[in-house]
Amino acid sequence: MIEVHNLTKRFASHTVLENVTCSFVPGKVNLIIGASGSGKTVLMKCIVGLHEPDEGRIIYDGTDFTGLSHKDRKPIQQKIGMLFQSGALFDSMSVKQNVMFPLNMFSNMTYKERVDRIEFCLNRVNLSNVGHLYPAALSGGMKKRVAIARAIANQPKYLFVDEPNSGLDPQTSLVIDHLIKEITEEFNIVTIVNTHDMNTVVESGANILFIHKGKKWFHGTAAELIRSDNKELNDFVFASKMMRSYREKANQ
Amino acid sequence: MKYIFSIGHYWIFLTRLVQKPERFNVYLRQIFIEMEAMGFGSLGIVAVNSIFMGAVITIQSAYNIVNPLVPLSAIGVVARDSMILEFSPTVIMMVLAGKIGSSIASEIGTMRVTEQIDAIEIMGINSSGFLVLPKIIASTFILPFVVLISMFVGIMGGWLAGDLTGACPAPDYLKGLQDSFVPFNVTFALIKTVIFAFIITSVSSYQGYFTRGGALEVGQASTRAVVYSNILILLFDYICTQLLLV
Ligand SMILES: Nc1ncnc2c1ncn2[C@@H]1O[C@H](COP(=O)(O)OP(=O)(O)OP(=O)(O)O)[C@@H](O)[C@H]1O
Ligand SMILES: [Mg+2]
Repeated sequence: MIEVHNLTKRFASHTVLENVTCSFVPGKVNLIIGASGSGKTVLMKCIVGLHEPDEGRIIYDGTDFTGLSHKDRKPIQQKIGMLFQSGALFDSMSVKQNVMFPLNMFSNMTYKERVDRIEFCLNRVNLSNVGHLYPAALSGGMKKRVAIARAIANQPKYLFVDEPNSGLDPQTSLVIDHLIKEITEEFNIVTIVNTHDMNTVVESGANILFIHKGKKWFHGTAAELIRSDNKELNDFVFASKMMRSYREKANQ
Repeated sequence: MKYIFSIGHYWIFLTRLVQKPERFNVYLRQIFIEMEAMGFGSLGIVAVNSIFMGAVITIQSAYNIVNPLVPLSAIGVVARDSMILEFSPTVIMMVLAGKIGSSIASEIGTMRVTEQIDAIEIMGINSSGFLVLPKIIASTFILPFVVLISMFVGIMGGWLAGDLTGACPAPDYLKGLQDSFVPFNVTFALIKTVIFAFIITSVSSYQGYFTRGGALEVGQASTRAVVYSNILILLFDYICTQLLLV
């Protein structure tokens, strides 16, 4: 379980996150939703330690992460898999090398086992035949999927996924949502997904955090979300016609 | 004030590089990849530069020596000593600062602005150590060989130019090469090369590593890497000469 206590993050005088308290449970897909620019990515980067929070604490399974030195954070970080919003694939490495990178660094597998593992991961994201290509030769959605494969390669205990579906067609998007949900349940990992894709919310959201203007606005399940009468939340969730009709159906 | 801050910051950056590697063989492979890129990758530009420098020094010395009492072999001495003492270690390393330094700064800078460094960091890897240390080790190891090659090629260039133009016939030139040769000069040149190699890779990596922004800033970082490397090379050239030769 990952707990966030009273997190505040400012850039110069601009307060991006204000007093956010929440917790993320293992074995379920925890979603962070919110409008573009609301601070989802910053929250995620604070949790993994890429941004230092100005106030507040982050606790990984009882260990106070914020209080640790960079060096003492490494053992926790080695159990983190993260998909960056931009993908952040290594340009100088092929797809296979990208996915194999965390394995080369940390696993004790033999070469053969590592090759099998990356083939398995690439298969899971429907990319079994591009292993030899370099990131520059991939489409946006393919890069995203390779990055997901890299994030799950070393069987993380904590999985952070920043907008897995942007740039993907609805069908592939569903495949990715299912994949994330499956490995989360199968290995009982703490998965946090940033998204503004309502399909994902309906498909896999168990524990949903709605961030609005840097503040926690709502925290609950998908069913609670649909029934909520919070104005900002409703404006966000039911912005599309499709979602409104979904609500009507749910209410009937 | 800003410079003092930068020097301190650079120093902290250097101390962070040395930590226990997560996987020794991954670092080792990285070192070999860098050595190949820096060593073999530089041979062409180094050879062309050296051959012309050697040729120009020879012809210019011949042109300047008009006194019939000075033997023609002095041209060989001048060409040899200028190549060994200054042109190969300093000028060639400044050329390499342009080639290697800008490529390091833009490589690491791009990794920074596209979050690749964050991706490394988040896996629990010491990103500066992983990216920079192999480059420093590779350059301080391989560039002395490149400079040795440059000395050799430069002296050959002088020989060729002198002989072809008739400014300094080969027998005189060869006699000059053997006259009062001081082996320590080569050692001195190699010591300088190691220092300059360290300057080029560490300064350029530092510039790349702390790039903020986008493609524009990556370009600026790479320019700064070359400019600062060159200034520091000249400064340390002076310091080394003062300390070791005088
Ligand atoms: N490194 C930074 N320096 C200064 N401001 C930043 C930085 N990173 C983010 N911000 C600011 O923080 C705010 C939230 O950004 P963030 O990237 O978290 O949004 P987001 O919710 O992820 O949006 P999107 O859905 O578009 O990805 C924005 O106003 C942004 O300008
Ligand atoms: Mg974002």
